[in-house]
Amino acid sequence: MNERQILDRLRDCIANLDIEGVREASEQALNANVPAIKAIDEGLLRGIQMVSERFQAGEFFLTEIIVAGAAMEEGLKVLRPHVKKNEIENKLGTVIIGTVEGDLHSIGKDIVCMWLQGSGFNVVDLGVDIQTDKFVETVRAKNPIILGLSSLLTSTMPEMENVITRLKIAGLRCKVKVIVGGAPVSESFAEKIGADAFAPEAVAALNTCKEWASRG
Amino acid sequence: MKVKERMMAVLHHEEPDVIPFSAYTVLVPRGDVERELRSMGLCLVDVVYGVHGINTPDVKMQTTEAVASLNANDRLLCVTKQKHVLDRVYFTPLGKLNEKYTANYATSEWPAEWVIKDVKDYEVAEYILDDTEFFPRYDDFVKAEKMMGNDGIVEAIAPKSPIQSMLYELLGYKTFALHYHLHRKEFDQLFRLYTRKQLEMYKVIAESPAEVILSFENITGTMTSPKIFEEYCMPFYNEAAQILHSKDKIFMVHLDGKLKCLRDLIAKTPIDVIEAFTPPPIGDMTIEEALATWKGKVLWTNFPATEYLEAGLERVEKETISMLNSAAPGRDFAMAVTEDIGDIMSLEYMKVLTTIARQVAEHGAYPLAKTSPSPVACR
Repeated sequence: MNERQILDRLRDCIANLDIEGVREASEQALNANVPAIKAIDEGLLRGIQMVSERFQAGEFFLTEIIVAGAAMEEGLKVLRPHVKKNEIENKLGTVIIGTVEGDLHSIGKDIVCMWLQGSGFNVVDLGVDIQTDKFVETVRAKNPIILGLSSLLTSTMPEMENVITRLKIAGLRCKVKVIVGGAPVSESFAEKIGADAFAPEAVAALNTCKEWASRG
Repeated sequence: MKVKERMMAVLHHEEPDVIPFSAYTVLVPRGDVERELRSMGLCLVDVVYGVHGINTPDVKMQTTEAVASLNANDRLLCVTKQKHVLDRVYFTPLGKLNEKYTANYATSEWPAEWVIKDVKDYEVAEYILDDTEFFPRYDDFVKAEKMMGNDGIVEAIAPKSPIQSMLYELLGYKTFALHYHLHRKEFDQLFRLYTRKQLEMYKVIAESPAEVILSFENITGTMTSPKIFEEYCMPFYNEAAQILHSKDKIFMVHLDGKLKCLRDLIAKTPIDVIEAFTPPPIGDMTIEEALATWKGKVLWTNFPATEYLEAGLERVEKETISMLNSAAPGRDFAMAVTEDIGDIMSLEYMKVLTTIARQVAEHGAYPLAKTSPSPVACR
């Protein structure tokens, strides 16, 4: 197999949710001296792009997205140790993400993390049930370009506004873009609380973050 | 019509005098506001968990509870913010399994660690399920119904369907997705056993004095895809409904997610009532679309209160009228607030609730007249 065929195989294995195939193709890429960063960018990420297109077309659902994420992780396990430092880390900047206080849901957040990491962002996943102070402290310490807030409960949505208010008080709001998401969250809610964007699903979140990162 | 009579008329596909408006009792404020709401015809809805008792002769369960560490500020300011972690261990002759729950704000429990973490856990999980016996326990329901009288209805809660139980209670979404794709044999074997046991449970529930049986399915089409719904949910609904209908029960399912991709499949189910149906912007189907697609089913529609909590009461008024207008003439239609929106004693929430109740009382006379769409309806 030549380089192009190996990269296509990586892409197809991701798109076909073939975890074992991704591991094999990643090893094959290294054995054929394909640069690891190229295998990630032109193999794995092209596969993820196909998965996201199938998701947007209504052919794939969250279960498929999760398996695609597991396949991506399997490939990264093999390829990442061979990526030169700074080739991938911080390529697009840092994103801090977490589910707001009182809310233990992680599904949406985890999927967004997976897509962002796979796309070259440095992701700091704070987890679930995160206190407002923790968001503010981490933004101060890590200097991210984006803060992602997730909530799946109507009762915890107001916490998103609290985080934004506290960022303003701390003088950090102008330094970071804020994107919000979660089943009960809407565009109008995002606007009302002063977020920069609302993402109805993971692919939209990824696209918004990429757009912001490209603007610098 | 009395409040209960009005709601039951709709659930029986009969004509009410006014479109019913309801709220779960836990979402209704107390005191003057409650009196005002009820004077405007609010129907209380109480739910009773466990009209079936559960016994596991060969499985022992041990639960430990710990208060998660909080900062000093939290401790001083708000005891209700204590976070409890429940660690439940199941001991069986084949080994043990555990699950962890975190309870926040003393209102709800959320799984933090699921029972099945690995494919090797299926054997023990199956043992636990197979060991489970169900028996009637109807006293709490009878008491609740007596207390409620004609002020509302009491529903008996049935568990989530087997596939939704596997997703929410046994596997969690990540393991669910991976095992569904990679370990289908074990996944399906557990599903079949779960189905058999839950149908045993439904038989006990069907013998209960409850007329209305509600399952909190919480299905959303993004997670429960049409393929999963068709293969795993629908056959179960068919069997469960057969059991319930043979005893003249009303089979009601809580479906408050995004349902557009499932709409044609839901139409084919024998579910009698789509409870907590939530229109856009939270859901993705309009009331008109739902009523047209699910002819013959009752649409008990949730007012998406969170969207309008701070939008102003004028907006709430318009939205309520718009929802009624969308449902005209109102056959098989009821309205409700079914979403936990946080502090039910907050002034904003109380005002929203009373505004909806007032609009339904003023504009909800059956049959509803279709008027030209308001700007809100067109948004």
